Amino acid sequence: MNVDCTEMRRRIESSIGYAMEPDERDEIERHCAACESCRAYRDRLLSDHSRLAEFAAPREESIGRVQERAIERVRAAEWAPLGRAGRVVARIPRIATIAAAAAAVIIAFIVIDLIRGAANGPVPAFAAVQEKMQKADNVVYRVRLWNVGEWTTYTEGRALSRISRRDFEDSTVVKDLRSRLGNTELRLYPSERRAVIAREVYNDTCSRCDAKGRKRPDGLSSLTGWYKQKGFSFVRKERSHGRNMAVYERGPSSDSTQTHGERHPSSNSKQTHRVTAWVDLETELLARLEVVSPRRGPNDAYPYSLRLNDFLPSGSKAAGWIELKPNEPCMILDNFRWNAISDTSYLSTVPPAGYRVETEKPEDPDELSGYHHARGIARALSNWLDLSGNVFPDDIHDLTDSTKVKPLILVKFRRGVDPAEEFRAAYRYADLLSGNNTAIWILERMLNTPIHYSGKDAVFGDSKRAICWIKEGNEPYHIIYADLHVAASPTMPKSAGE
Amino acid sequence: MGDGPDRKLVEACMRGDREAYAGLVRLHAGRVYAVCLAIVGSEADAEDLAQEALVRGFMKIASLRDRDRFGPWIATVAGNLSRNFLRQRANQARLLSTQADCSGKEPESLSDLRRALWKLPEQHRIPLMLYYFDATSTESIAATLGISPKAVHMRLSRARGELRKLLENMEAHDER
Repeated sequence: MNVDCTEMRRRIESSIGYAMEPDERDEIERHCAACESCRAYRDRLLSDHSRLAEFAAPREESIGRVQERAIERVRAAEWAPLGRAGRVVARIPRIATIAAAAAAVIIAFIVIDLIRGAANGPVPAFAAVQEKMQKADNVVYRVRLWNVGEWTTYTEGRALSRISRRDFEDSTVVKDLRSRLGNTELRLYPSERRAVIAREVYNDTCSRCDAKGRKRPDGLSSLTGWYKQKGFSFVRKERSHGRNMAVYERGPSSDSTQTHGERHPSSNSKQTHRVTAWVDLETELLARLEVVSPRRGPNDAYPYSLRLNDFLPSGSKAAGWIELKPNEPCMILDNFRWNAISDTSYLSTVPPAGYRVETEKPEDPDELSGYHHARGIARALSNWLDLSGNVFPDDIHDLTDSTKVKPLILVKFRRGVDPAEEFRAAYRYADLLSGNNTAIWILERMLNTPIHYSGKDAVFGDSKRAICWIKEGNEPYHIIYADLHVAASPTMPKSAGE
Repeated sequence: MGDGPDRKLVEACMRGDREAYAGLVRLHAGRVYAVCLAIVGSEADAEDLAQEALVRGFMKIASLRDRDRFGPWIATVAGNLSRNFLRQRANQARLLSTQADCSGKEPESLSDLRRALWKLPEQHRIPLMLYYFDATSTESIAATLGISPKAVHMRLSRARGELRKLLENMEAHDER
C-alpha cells in the first residue's frame, strides 16, 4: 500500500454515511477503479456499515420498552417537576412520616434488644465459630492492607471448591486450585478488555488430591491465615453496625524475637501480631478482623534497614506522619458476606466474551532445580547492576548486606523533593530486591549449597566470562555469565574457579 | 432530530404537564439508550439505566438552564448514571455474563462485530453507537457530546477505520 492509498483509505473511511462533494466522490471512484486493494477496503467498510445498522436494528424494541416504562413511571409519579425549593416543601409531609416511622423502628429494636437480653446472652466458643466458618460454601469480604503509608483495598471471594477471586480497582484475579496437575489463574483487565490465562504445571500429581484428581476440600481454612490459629479468647460484647457482636482477641506472645515466622505471619511459629475478631452473634460467623503488627511501629526496620528518617529533612519527626500509630491495625477484613456467591461466572476461569485472551507459557515442571536457582541469582545480580550502574559486587553476599545495598538505594531514590513518596518508592523497591534475593538465602541456608562467585572485576555484557556457578546434587554445574545468561555444563567453569 | 422543538415541551413540562415530558421521552429515548449501552455494554442494564435517566430527567428538569438543550442534558445525565453504575458495581462478572448471553442470541457475524465494538475506546464508541442506534445526524451527535460536527465526523471516520482493523485482526486470529 503506497502513501496515496493510505490517504485514500482515510478519505474512504470519512465518506461512509456522509454526503461528499461530487469532485471528492469522483476522485475516490477513480482511485478505487484502478486500485483493487482500496476497492476491497471500501467494500469491507460498506459491509461493516450495513452490519452496524443491522446490529442496531433489533434495539428498536429495547428503545420502545424504555419509552413505555419511563412514560408510565412519570405518569404514575407522585411528585411534580418543581424547582429545588418547591421539591423540599412538597416533601415535608413525607419527611415527617419517614422520620416518625424510623423513630418507631429504632425504639422497637431497642426494646427487642432489651427483651432478648443481648448484653447477657451466651457467646459461642471461638472453636465453634471456626467450625461453622469452615463448613460454609463460600464467602466474600473486603481486604484492606497497609503498606508504608498507603492502603491497598480489594474484594476477595473464596469457595469451598478451592477457587478464589480478587477484585482490585483495575483488575481481577481468579485462581482455581482444584486440579492435581496444576493451578490455573485468570487475570482480567476490564479497561483493556484483556484476559491472561496462566497455568502452573506440577511435575508430579498433587499429594493433596484424591483419587479422582480433586483437591481434598479443606473448607475455607485458608481464608485469612488468622482465624484458624488457636488462642482466641472472648473479650467483650458490643453492638456494631446494628448487630450484636462477640469480640475475641489473640496474641501477641511474650517472646517477640523476630523470626521467619514474622515475615510469613500465617505460619504458627510465633504470635507476634495481635488479632481481633468480631463475630456476629446471630449468624455466629466472622464479621470483621483486624491485625495489629508490632513491626509497623515508627522505629521498625524495613528491608535493607530503610527508615523513614533517612528520607526526612534533619530534625523532622517520623512518628504519626507516614507510619501507623502503635495499636493501629495494618490489615482489616470486613464486609463479610457468607454463602453469598450464587453467580457461577463469578468464580469461573473462562475468559469472558469480548476479551482478548493471552496465554502465559507455564514454567517447565521438569526444569532442574539448579537452573531455577541460578536464574534467581542472575535476577538478583541484575537488580544490583541496576543500582550500582552496571558494576558487579565484590562478593555475592553484598546483595543481601544492608550496609551495602542501603546506600545504593538512597542514592537512587532520595532526591529531597517529596520524602514520603521517595520513601514509599524506595521501600517498594527494597521489598522487591529482598524478594529476588531469596534465591541466595534458600541456597545457602536451606539447601546448604555454596555459591561460587568471581565476578568482582567482570565487565557486564561479557557472554564468555563465567562469574558464578552452583552445583546441586547430581545435576550439572549451572553457570551464570557476565551477560547474566545461565547455562548448564558437565564441567566446572575455568574462569570462575576459585 | 433537532433540539429546537424541545423548548416548548420543556416549558410545558416545567408547568407540570406530564404528557409534554412523554413527548420528550419519545424524542430522546433512542439517544439515551445508545449512550447507556455504549458505556455499560449490556442491553438489559442499558434499558434499566435509560429508563432511570429519563425518570430522573423529569424530576430534575427544573435545573435545566438552556431549554433548547434537553437532548445533550439528558444524554449527560444518562452518561453519568451509567458510569456511576459501572463504578459502583462490585461484581464485574455480572456484566461479563450478560454480554456473553446477548452475543449468544446473535448471528456469528454480528457477535464478532459486538466484540470489536467493545474494543473501541469510549470516545469513538459513543458517537458510533449514537449514529447507528439513534439514527442521528452528526450535528445532533455533536450537540449531545458537546463537540463540533467536524470532530464528530472525524471520530466516526476513525472509529470505522479502527473497527475494520479490529475485525481483520479477529478474522486473522480465527483463521490461525
